[in-house]
Amino acid sequence: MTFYHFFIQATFSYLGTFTFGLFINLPKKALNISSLIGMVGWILYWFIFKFGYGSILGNYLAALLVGLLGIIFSFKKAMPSTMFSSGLVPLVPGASGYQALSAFINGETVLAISKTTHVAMVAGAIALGYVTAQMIVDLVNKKNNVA
Amino acid sequence: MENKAIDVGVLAGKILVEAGSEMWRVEDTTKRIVDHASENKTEAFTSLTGLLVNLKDTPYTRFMQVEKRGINMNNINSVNALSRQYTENKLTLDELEEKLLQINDSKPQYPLWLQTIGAGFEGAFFMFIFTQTYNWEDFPLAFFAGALGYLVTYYVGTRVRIRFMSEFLGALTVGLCAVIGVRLHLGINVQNIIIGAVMPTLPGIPIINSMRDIFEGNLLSGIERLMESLIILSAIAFGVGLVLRYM
Repeated sequence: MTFYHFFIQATFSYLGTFTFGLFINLPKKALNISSLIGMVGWILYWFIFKFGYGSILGNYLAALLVGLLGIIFSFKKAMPSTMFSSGLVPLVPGASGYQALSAFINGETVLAISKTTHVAMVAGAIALGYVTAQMIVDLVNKKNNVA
Repeated sequence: MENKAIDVGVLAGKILVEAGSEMWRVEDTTKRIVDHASENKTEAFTSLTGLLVNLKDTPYTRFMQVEKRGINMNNINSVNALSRQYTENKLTLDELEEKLLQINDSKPQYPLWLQTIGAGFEGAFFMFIFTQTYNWEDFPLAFFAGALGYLVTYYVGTRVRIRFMSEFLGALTVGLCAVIGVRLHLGINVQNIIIGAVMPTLPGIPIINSMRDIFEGNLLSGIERLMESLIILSAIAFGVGLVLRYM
């Protein structure tokens, strides 16, 4: 893990989330912020994964951070928090999904099923993290006026 | 007045469902608009294919069918802002309806060429992120495959009535581009290019929304969205798998 790797991961997760915003028609005000949130979430995941705490915990905490930041900015900018959910895009388990698919094609069914289970668990961890953020905000926020 | 408010409320809900909003917001916005005009309690039943809104103790009930669904964040934001302005009495009901009809007919704020370039770059950038490799040689091919896959998905999606065919053909295009490109020595690693370039067609936001719907108690729309996303995922897997198996 060198500075070069860190730099590439940070800039590319920012740019990837930014370009994703272009074809889901994200409002111009939200493009920069949602990309920054995507970058922060990905860097958190990357560090947790690199220090060997596994991808489930990493995805959960990163999704929690993305959800919290999204809700904070939704209050600040008076926009729905959905606008910032594109920050979750770097966490999508694309590589594991591909490995599961290629294992199915090569007839290694046991490996394929274990990979598919892993993908499902990662997806569940991301969803749970995102919902946990909403729950924390609902508990802390006394006015029941969620953006 | 009530009769008109319920029409406008259902229209706002329909725009939100078409733009891929979570169901909590659809119900909340619709009820907010109708409640503002009436003393009676509003009840709403929402699903991905249609909305039903009823005003208690009055003869007013509306149903509106939802025929197409996509993701359009700008429409969600605009409808949300308008409904807030309306409940703060900054807009009249007629102005709200006029603006909602404008949103209903509006085009995406980014032109198709920009969306396509965005899809291509997204594929190329996420290739580095997902695979944790740093092969700059694969960047142009991943860009090209991602952009072409997005264009095919877009055009088939607008022309063909059968659902899920667009995603299948898009994934097939991505796979063919990657394999043929690598055979022509334009790239190195087929696997990495496909992982990145298939990214624009993956239903990431719908899956997250389906989980949110289920956790927030909108079981029907949550399950509908989850099934739709799983079928789209299968279509993509089928498209990529066909290329990997026979080429």
